[in-house]
Amino acid sequence: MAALVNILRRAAETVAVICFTAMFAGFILQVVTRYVLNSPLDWTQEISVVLYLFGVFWTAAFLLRERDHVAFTVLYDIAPMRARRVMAAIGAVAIGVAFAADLPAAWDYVSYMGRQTTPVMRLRFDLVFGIFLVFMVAVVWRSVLTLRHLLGPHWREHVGDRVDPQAEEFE
Amino acid sequence: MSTAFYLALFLLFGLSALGVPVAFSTYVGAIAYLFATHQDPGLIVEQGLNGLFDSYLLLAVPLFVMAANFMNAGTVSDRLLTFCLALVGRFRGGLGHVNVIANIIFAGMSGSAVADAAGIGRVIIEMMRRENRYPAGYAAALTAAASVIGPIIPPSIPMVLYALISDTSIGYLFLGGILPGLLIGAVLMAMNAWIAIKRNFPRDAAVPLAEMPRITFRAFPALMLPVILLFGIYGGATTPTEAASVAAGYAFILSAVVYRGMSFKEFVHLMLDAARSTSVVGLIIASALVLNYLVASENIPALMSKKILAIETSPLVFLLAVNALFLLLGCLFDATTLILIVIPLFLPAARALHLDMVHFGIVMTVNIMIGLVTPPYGVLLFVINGITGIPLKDIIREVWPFIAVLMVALLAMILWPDMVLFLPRRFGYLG
Repeated sequence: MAALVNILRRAAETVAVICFTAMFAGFILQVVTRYVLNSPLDWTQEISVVLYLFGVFWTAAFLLRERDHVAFTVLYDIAPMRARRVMAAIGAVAIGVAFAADLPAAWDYVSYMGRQTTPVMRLRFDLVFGIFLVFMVAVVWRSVLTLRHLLGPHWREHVGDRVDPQAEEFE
Repeated sequence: MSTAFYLALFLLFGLSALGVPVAFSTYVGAIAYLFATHQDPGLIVEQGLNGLFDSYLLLAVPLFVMAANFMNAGTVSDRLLTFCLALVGRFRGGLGHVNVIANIIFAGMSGSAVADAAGIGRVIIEMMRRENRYPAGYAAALTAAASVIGPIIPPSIPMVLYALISDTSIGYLFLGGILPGLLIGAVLMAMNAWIAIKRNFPRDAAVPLAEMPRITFRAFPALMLPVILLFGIYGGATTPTEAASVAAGYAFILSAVVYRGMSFKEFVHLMLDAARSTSVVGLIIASALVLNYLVASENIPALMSKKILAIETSPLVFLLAVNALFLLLGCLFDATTLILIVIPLFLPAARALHLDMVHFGIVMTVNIMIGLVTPPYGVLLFVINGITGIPLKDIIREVWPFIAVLMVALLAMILWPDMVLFLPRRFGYLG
């Protein structure tokens, strides 16, 4: 199980890296064709935007850890373990319920956008925006997992002192 | 304002206080609002995603992150520091001056204070600590304060976010940041000089003039990057986003090909890091766009302007009050949150008072960047503590004089808008 999770995470990381590298390459191509070759391609800008959108929500769905997010943790950090358990549980319930409740309407909007296409490459908008639905499902799923963890016997692991994110990042 | 809107604000701030990531608190508040007002909950997708899709400028954010990452990966920082050392090392407290000058130059290629502190900041702290020449807390505090210059001198990620949220020209904002950034550098150097004399900090051996051409030549490719960026944008050649991609491409070639300081593995690691930070910011932006829809549908701009005009406050008093408030908020909140979630609540009032949006944007950026070094929640203090292990309490003890001069500089910008607006006007800004 752990091995499988590891493989999936690697795969998700590879997708994100390819996505942002391709976006970067798209821009370089745009600058080169416009300013060096003087014959700009019309699709570079659009593909960069599409890749950006996809990359943001793909990464948010599969790669962002709790501690990567911008959060106001001053109160959480000084709270005792039991209080943290309650705080984290309220958060997980609120996020899970809200995103689950919104999912049908979000689905409707995205499918409705299937009638429109992007201006240059004629990509259907439901495919472009669909990644947001994936993100929403991942958010709901993660809230459920978090809640289960918090209600289970090992809840202390979840609310224990976090490692300083920056310290780990720059080692 | 409707009850539903108060419910949204309550959820936003209440959940945030519990430690829920700001983007999610904002989404939960917005979703509750849409259900309570019987609007289509699908609007959270419509507002957020269409907004992102139309904001081509936003793509500059990952590109600036990449540029700074590539620069930090290669030996660019070392070359720049050698150059700065030759320039100002000979004065008392020389390495402190090197610190500030290097940050000013680096600010011309990076748009993020955190990237500066983690990149060039880390290298210079090591230099200052060699043979224990400067106290650890002092080296760390000065580095934190000098990193503030990064997003004030263009390019600047916070200004890109402000431009997006306020519909202000990013070109004029970037120009408006140049003089304030130099002013901040000057006051920090003045404070460093004063403390250096008082505490008898060392000088570094003067570099012979004959060495200068070689040192400059070694640093030259890196020094060219700010020039390329500014020419690209103000020569009218490229859009800011394209300029950002040129900067990232140039930094990539410098680090990977010319200086050979970056391996493929490192490249993948840096791209993953860029993906993460881009995603974190992108998510907050998407949620902020939904929040903006709420603010607009509640007709808050009109309400605000009516209220503000009724109080008959002067623009200056308003600006001072907002700044005092944001300095307090900056002690607790992260910069992205303040710019994307809190500033939009004040924009209608600022507009009603006919404040100049470029001036307001620069002043708020500087203000919020000062918040990055104010305890207890100062991201730059945490970053430097994280990468160097210098205890937070030592950094905090030494950072106060620098916070004081930063605030003086901020006050000067508030009182003399011309300092901010001089350059934009020279380039055709009609404000």
